[in-house]
Amino acid sequence: MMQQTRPPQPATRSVLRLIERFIVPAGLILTWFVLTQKTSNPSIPTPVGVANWLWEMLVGGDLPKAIAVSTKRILTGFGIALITGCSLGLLMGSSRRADTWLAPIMNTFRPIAPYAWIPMAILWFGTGDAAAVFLVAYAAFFPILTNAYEAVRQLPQPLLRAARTLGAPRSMIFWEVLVPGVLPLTVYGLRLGLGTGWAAIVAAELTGGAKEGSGASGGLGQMLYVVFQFSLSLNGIVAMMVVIGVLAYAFDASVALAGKRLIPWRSEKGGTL
Amino acid sequence: MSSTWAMMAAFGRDTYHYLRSVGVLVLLWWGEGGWLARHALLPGPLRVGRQVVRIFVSGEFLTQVSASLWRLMAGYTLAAAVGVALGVAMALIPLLDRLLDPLVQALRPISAIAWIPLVLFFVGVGDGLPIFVIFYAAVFPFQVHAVAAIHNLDESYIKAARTLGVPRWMLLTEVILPAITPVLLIGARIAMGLSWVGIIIAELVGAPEGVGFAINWYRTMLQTDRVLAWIFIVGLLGFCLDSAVRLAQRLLTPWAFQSSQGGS
Repeated sequence: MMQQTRPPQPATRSVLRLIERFIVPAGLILTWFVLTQKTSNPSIPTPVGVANWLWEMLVGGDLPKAIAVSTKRILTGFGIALITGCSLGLLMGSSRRADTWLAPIMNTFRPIAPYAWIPMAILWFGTGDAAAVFLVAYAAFFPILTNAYEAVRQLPQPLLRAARTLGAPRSMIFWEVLVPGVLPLTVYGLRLGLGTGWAAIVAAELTGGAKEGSGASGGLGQMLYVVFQFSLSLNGIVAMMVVIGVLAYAFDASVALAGKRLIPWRSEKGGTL
Repeated sequence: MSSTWAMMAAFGRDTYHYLRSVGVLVLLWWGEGGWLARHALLPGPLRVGRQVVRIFVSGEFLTQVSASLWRLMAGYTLAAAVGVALGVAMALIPLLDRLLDPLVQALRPISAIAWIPLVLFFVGVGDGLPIFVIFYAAVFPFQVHAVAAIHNLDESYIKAARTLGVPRWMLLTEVILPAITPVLLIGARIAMGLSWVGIIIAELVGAPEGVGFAINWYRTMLQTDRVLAWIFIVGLLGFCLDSAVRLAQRLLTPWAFQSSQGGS
């Protein structure tokens, strides 16, 4: 549909491209700035107010602390989901017996939205780290499981047969055929899982962590909740949204980069979705 | 005839496998519950089953679920219309794509959940917040899949249509839209999953009724058996909604639909 190759562009074209790239976001921020210039209502967020709030929280140490708390929870929950999801997915993908026994259980739990477990997580684990870790792990588990499972099932059988025919030992088949074969889809699953895990941490802290007390100890989601509930500063809310977006982007980009390093033969195709 | 028998046999075998696995799980749950005997933390399967029946019989199911489903349909339809229109326009008009893509890329990492406090401030507790969250969660899968579908379109279709003198608007309705429908429906399935996840958290935080509200309400009442009953219903409805999209895939694009062979 689209022309894929373009002739080399002169400098003016590339400057034009740069302008095109930034004009809509910049225009929106400018409109926001102009519209909020006249109001003195403190509950209306302004670009300057958001920037000020961000700066204060950064310098004051609340924001770095909240980021550290949330990141620790995400990495723990994601790590649990990575180990359980990959191993169960690979097991179910390669063994029919494991598949027929475990698939019904997975299919029973998969349609249950992770946030439906929030009340139970609070009952079981309280409002601290454990509940948030549980929710992140639950949310990240299913995308990782599904992609690891599909990766094994879509592995070209002739490759395995060829390796066996040529007399490759089992460990060699595992490391040289199976692992490189399942890596692309599995890494894609990890990316999806990290994304849902990020959404889950905010939800868990927003609803569960709020009873834990002061500002930053409950992570980013709780900080968002505290700003909303107690100070009603929309500047703070918008600033927190920016922080969450930037961090989610950074996490996703780092997994994508790690994927490119691990799977160099796939990197030129790139992940479009 | 033989294929019908084979299908029935496969269905019977799948049912047997399902009942076998879930049966073992329920037995474990039952045994554990009797041993632990702390119903406030984990009520047994019998108590939860009784609550599920009660939710259906008392009419509570209908009131809460209809409130949620109405919001789901409103937000989802809106997301489909906006997402597909935006995606098609961005894929067909390169300038529009270059202008709007940075904005889309900047908004996508901000999850719908992060919007909840801001939207709650403006629209308050009610239908507005869940509908917004569903819309925001579902609009990106529709847009992304529309763009990707058009970029991967077989160019010979368009060339053939042009050669045959098809007018421009007919090219869109008769060639492009039917050709991208299979990919759009993949996006629709992802969007449905995200909507269902989104409505639960939105109602849990800011709605006076609905499925997400019910779950949290019975937690504050410490009726754990009823919480688990509602969680079970959430799973059941999530499965039904996913099946509905898969049915649409099968009916609208039978040539592209491949039934999965069981498994996960």
